[in-house]
Amino acid sequence: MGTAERAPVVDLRDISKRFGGTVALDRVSLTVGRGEILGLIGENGAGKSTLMNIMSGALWPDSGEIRLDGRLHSRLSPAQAQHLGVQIVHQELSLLPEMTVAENIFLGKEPRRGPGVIRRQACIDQARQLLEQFSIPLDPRQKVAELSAAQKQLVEICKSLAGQVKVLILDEPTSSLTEREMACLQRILPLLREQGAAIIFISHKLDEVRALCDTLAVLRDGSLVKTAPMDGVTEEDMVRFMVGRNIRDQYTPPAYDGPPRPVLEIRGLCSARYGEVSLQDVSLEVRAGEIVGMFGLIGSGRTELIQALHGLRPIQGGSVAVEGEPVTRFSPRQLIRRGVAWVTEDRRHEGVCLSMSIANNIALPIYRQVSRLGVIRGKDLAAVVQTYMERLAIKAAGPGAPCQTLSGGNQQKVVLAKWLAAGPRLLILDEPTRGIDVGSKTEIHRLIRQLRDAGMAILVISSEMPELFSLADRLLVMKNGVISGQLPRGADGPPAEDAVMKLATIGA
Amino acid sequence: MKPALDTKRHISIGSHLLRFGILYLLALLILAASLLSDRFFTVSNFLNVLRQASPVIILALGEGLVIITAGIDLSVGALVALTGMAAAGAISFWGLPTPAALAVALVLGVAFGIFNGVIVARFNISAMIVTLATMNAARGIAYLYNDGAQIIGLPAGFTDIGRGYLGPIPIPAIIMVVLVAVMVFVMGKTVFGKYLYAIGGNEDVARLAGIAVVRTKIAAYAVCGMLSAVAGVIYAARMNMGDPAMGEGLEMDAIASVVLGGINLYGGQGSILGAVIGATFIAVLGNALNMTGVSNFWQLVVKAAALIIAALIYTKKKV
Amino acid sequence: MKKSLSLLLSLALVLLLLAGCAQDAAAPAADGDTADTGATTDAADTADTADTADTADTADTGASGDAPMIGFANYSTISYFMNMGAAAHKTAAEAGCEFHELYHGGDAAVLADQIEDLAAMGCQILITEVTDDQSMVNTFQELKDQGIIIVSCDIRTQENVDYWIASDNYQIGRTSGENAVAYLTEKYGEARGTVAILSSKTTTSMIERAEGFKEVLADYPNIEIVDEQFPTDFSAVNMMTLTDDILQLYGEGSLDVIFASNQTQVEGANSAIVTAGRQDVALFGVDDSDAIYEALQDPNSTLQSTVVQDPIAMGVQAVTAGLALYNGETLDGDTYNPDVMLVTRDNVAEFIENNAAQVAELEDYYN
Repeated sequence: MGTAERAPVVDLRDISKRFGGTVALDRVSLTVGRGEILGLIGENGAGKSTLMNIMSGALWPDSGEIRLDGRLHSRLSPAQAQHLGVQIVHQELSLLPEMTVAENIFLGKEPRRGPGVIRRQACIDQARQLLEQFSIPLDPRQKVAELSAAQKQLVEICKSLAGQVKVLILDEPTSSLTEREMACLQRILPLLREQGAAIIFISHKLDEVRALCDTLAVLRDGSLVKTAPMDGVTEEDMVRFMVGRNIRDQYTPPAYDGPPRPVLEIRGLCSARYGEVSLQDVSLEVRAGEIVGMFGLIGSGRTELIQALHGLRPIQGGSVAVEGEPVTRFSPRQLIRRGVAWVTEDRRHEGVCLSMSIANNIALPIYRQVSRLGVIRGKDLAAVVQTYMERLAIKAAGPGAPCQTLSGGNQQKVVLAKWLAAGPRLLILDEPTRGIDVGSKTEIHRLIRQLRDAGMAILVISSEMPELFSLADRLLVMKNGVISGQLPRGADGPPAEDAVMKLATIGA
Repeated sequence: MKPALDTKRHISIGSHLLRFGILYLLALLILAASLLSDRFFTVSNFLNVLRQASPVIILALGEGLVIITAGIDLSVGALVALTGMAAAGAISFWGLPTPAALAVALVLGVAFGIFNGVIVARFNISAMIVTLATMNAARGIAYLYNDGAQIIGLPAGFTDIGRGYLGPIPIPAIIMVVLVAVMVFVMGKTVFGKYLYAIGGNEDVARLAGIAVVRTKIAAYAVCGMLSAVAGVIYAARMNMGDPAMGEGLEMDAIASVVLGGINLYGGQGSILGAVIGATFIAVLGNALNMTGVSNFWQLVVKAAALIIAALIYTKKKV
Repeated sequence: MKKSLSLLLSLALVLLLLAGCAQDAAAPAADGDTADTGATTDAADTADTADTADTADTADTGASGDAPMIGFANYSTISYFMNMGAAAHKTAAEAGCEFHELYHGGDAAVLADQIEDLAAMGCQILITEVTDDQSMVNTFQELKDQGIIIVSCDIRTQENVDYWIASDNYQIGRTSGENAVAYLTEKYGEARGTVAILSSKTTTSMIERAEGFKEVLADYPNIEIVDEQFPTDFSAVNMMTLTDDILQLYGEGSLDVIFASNQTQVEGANSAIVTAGRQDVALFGVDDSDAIYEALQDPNSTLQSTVVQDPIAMGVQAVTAGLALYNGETLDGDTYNPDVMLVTRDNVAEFIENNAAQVAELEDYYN
């Protein structure tokens, strides 16, 4: 092997970065070679995203060296990084919703005819070629706004594949992917490895990291605590590296002994809107003290059902009752009044107000309760906020810290705190642990069980079957706007995975 | 433990600096003007600037409120003219007593604000477009009302609102201070204030949290309209006439104040006190330039530079 | 329901907008519906429109003889211009001419459009209130080539204009200056004192007035001009703020006179002086408005006098001279300077009375 070939594609040396007084990275050194897939794991706020932003030129380190292909870059700009073949797929989407898939993929690098004139057809053809190469089932002419979250994630990945790929950074790419999109990714990565790209894969899904990656790097509190070949490392090991402790996450049966009254009853709900999945004759019941899990692929209508409930899409028929009282006006306000809380799937756009403080986010639905004649009672508010910040172990500088300074996991905890503060009787959780580190995930799961045991009715929607298996007392499967099956948890454990998948893909 | 404390202090000082960065520019400005003119740093000039700044500050309060909801109100300047005309007309033509004339002006301001708010919030139309239209409508009605002419014949009881003093303090300044106190309280301590921030920060989050987004936004525009009416009455009283040409371009001063005060034009961020400081800065800058004999042509350049410098200070916020 | 409500609201908005535009914005009126301008006026005008048919015919041939169509591209709707327009309208109506009046609001581009529209409508006599002495020169040349007679009011654009009517702005300034000297002489027993001037560097008329004022003062070495301001925005509020600051700069007893060179400057300066309670500063102005006449009668105000022009005489002369030129008559000279008048605290009541009587005669001819 010649030295040139052995020189790592990415070579980071002693990278440090501070934000104000917070140390985000502390002398991190990391190398990734040609054709290597590196799994980078770490808890929320461990510094993974900061490191990747430095590598892609979005941030400059306070000290340390970045070498790409053996060349030192002291002031790397995003454009320069892209030019050098560093492609990053962000955790948060950065697509232009009003443009088509093809336009998004080739944004900034459109095939041109003369100066400034875009060859539109070539753009579409090349996009289609790219999509076919990786067997991604998308129409290049479709508007991105019309796609589901998972499909958008695929577009985001394609975007990075459109240019020259020397280094591909995937920042939580699978957090919003359902099994089908995940399979796409599993086809893409080996192909890129063969082309000699260096791939950095950041994920909280340890089984995926283990399956996909060659080497493992673990960040904890801004320091690199472990690098090792993937061989022989178990998921338990990985968790231990990340948090320095062992974590178990096992199903426990409900311990609620009150009357199992139904909190939410949906009977024969129909909802249709042109061009979208229509809900047909959906009936379900969630009782106090139980966790109902709902599984379904993207486009199965699970989120749409909750949206319909909140008046965000039209309801053509059926009835809904909360605590036995029929709901006649469908709006977020009405449902909150009835004690329904909804933790939405899209944390960034529907969950937190990024510019506002943690305290103000948590207090949003309960301002009326902690105020008199419209004037907020500061002490009461602070007490509530304090309670929930502690209860959810939200890591932040203080209740006044803006949410945009928090990691994804802590933002999600803020959203949960907000809705728990509202004192709901029914808690609807849509993908509650998407993009969250194992530690927070376990904490959130434990909390959900506690709430159940205290008598709350809980509906959990998730694309992660293990999550549902460890949480749900009862499982519903949706497909094409219909509830295709209901699977009780047997005495000996959860229903078989293939049975669930069959209901979700083929139907009853 | 120790580093954590350090961190906290560091953040709070840093954010404070950025929050009212303009305050430091203001201090610098006052220092420079005091050195250049011995008539600048006097009690009498202080009261003079206070009176000049008051109506602009009042407008900036309303504008700030609307901008915090991620909206904008271009109609405030025209509303100054219209409500000033209405108050003058109510006295001069209808023979109403001063308090009743004030009520007429305030109701008109609120009505226009509600109209703006309904169109913007209920029908989801760009605030820029809606208020651009109502700006012309208000200005037009102000001209129509007395056929383009001024309205005179206002009693001392009315003109005192703009010209009078309570002890040594100009009455407009007293009105302004009261309104600033009320608005700071509203934005900081009331549910309404928090809702405005939430709506500006992320309207979807606010709606899903059960906030009556439409109603709250309408209220913001209504308050802005009402504050415009207060400013309109002060100007009419100060000028001793209802003038349909009054307040032309004031909306730009109000918006500039808000931006100088560090309120984010995209909504959700900033302190209403910032708008007050921004408006004060604009007034002091104008006064200082006049007092130091800077030519009016250069004044335009200096004011433009100040706005850009302020904008630069605030963009640093996004480290 | 949502739809109908939005429809209703948009209708209301449109109505409001129309209401807003009808009076002050001349721009929309400049396209298709210019013809309305004549129709919206009043009964006196509708009588004239009967003649339109003949007028239109003669317009094409350009033949002189009976009543030509007269267009007036006026400035804005303040009383000065309104009176001038009404006087011109009345004179035109009495001569049996169709009369159209538009307002450009001080926008040279709008003015150019309006002039072309008026010419296209068939106006053979064009009265203009231009915005400056340069921008219309080429436009006027083209119209003159078409045989259209151009009468310019107020601002001197003598090249390419057939006739020019304007008060002599130097004379206005001088009249005010003489009055100020008289005031200072009475105050101190001799002609001495300090003066601040609100002027302009961009508006010709205001520059000339200030020059005229200074011309008189130049003869008195003991009268010192301590400050001269050249603001860029003449709004009354801005002028008030500027005067506020001048009063701060020149404390009690150190400033005797402020001269203000147009209406908004007088109004703004007056408000500032009254609010500051500075009885030691006398204000000398030019131009008139209801507020200015009120100030002249207000015991708290220190406004000593204003110099007013005679817009009615100007309007009459504009049409008279235009018709004469149209009929091929020769006039002595191509310029007319109507008299200016000094209105003081003593004669203001009488002046208002006379003026009201003149305006009443024009009542039917306001646009």
